Amino acid sequence: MRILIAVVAIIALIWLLPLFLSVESGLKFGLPYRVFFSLIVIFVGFVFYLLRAPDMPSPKSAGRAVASVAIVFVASIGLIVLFANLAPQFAFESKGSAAGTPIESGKAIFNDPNAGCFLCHAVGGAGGTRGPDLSHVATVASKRRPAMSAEDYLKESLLNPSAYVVPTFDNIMPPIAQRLPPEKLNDLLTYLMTLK
Amino acid sequence: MPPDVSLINDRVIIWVVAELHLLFAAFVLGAPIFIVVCEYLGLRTKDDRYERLAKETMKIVAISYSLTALFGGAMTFVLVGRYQELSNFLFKSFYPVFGLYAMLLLVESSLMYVYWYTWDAMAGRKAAHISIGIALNVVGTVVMVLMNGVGSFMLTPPDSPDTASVWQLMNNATWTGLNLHRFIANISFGGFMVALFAAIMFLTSKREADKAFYDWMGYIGNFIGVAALIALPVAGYIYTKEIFAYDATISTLLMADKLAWFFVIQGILVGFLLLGSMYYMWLSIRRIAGGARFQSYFRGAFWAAVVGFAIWLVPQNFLSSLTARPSGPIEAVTIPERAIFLGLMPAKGLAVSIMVVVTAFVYFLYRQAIATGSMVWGQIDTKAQLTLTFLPGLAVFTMAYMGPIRELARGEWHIFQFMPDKTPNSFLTPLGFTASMAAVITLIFFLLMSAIFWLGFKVGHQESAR
Ligand code: HEC
Repeated sequence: MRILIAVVAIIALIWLLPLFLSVESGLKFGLPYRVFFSLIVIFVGFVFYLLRAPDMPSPKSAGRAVASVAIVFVASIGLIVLFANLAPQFAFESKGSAAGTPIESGKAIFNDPNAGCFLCHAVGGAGGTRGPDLSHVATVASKRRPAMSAEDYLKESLLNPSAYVVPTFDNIMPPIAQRLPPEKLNDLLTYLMTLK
Repeated sequence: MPPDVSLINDRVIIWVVAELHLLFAAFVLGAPIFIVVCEYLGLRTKDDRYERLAKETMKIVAISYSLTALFGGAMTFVLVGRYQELSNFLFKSFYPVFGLYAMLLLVESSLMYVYWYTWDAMAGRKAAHISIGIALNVVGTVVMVLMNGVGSFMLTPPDSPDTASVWQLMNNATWTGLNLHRFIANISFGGFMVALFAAIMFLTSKREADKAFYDWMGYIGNFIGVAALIALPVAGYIYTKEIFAYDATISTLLMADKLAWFFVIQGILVGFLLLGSMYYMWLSIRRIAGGARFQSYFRGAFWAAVVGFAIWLVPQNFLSSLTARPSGPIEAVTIPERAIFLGLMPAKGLAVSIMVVVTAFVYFLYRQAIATGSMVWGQIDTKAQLTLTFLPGLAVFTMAYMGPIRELARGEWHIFQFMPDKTPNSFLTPLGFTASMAAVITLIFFLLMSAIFWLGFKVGHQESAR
């Protein structure tokens, strides 16, 4: 009983408190967080209920014993699977649909965590800051090295990043593009060349 | 599944057979370690119960062995039949490894049958019999280490895999981590499975003497299971460290992008395992004379553990990937400013450490209680036995769930950044689907195990009762 009251009180707090907080306070948790925390509180209450629960008599027959084991199995794993199905889901992506034009494909590679470009580079305001902003990289690239075309410079930046290190940045860019198949590398370059 | 792919496809088939092969393999590798230790303890302590425990469990291992081979064979057929490019490359590049593997499998299975069938015949020469058991475990571990080389290679191949030497292929960036992680996990798994057999036998036995024995057996199984479980997060940490050092893009995929939520669920699983084993010890300590004085420590430990658990689970955001955007305002689904630290690595690391340390603390208290008070075997709350069945169920599900994460980490590659997966079934499977697959596989595993168990324990028992 005491546990039940505590659980209800804490959950009420979780739901009421945000009404008085503004976003600027930096502590206003959104709806999914509140649901999530409430579930955790219910679980914790359950744990402490179990700690003081009275002894359970041993099952009357072998059949009942097996049934109780099965119930524990299905309930615990079922709950987890249910929760996994309610959590945020990304969509299945069939292979064929992703490709499109070379520019689209190049953009997809740029935003693909397997290539990781966007983690260090921003384009149009979104992305990482460990590497230079690439919003206008095609223009920048044509001026970086006097004897090199923009395209050659970009290719070199991808395959051999240490050949020329942009001032004020560290030489940390991994030569990831080396491992891309040639047609994908071309798509990526085509995309970068559109960033004028 | 995407609309253009049917539910029963190559991907799903290879997934099921590979995972079942792995689960049975883990059992036939983990349980014998446990069995030999028990046989040795039986010899040392002159306590007959160890001997009986070891022998009853070994019977189950012997039957499971053939199922391991069956699923291993099925896996090879699917690989060769439907994933030719990959299997060609693997068999060609690892040719000597597979040759050695086949030879050692033969040695391992021979040792296994010798060990099992000479159990009674060699009763007078225990030391020799135990040596066979040790040899069995050594060979079994080498067999596993060989295949871990191939498995870890697919995620973290060395530079230019087509020209690298076999040793370079084997000794890739995550071989050690995977070996360590699987070795410890197998021991834990073996222990919990033994606890499961014991719990079921306890719940279905009528005779007091049997109840006392199976109560004790469950206690030993849990004892080993928890000991290994405490070490497991450390091995997991080493393994992930190796992956991250190999390629930062994998760690992003795992921790911040599409697989981030997979780890929230994984946190729940590991947390449940730790809390469940603590709960068993809590119930178990109550029947020890003088155990009551430990209970307040236990209660404190539970508090610390649930707080750690809660912090561990707080997600960074409720988005399915780095590039996903919600329909409403983004603040609603991301962690607020001042609480961001809760979602970051240092807090998570601390939370996991708290849980592990607390479980270890409870474990030592428990041992202390047993050393100082006397235990009444056979009289234990039914809930404790149900907990002993809950733990292995969860352990199997956890394994069936973490396997796919390791596979998904490769993204759309068969061999990371070397051989792309061009089959129509190459896609990341969403969380819900992945968890459902793990549940189905867990179910199949336990159905098969029940049949084995029935053969090994129940049928065997009726014979000995006659
Ligand atoms: C670990 C962070 C990191 C990742 C990942 C990364 N880069 Fe870089 N990148 C940098 C840094 C730092 C620089 C500047 C130093 C240098 O030139 O090497 C740079 C420089 C560049 C340049 C030259 C820019 C200029 O102004 O001259 C290009 C082009 C580039 N990166 C493209 C990419 C692409 C495409 C990818 C994905 C395949 C990528 N980067 C992945 C960190 C990264």
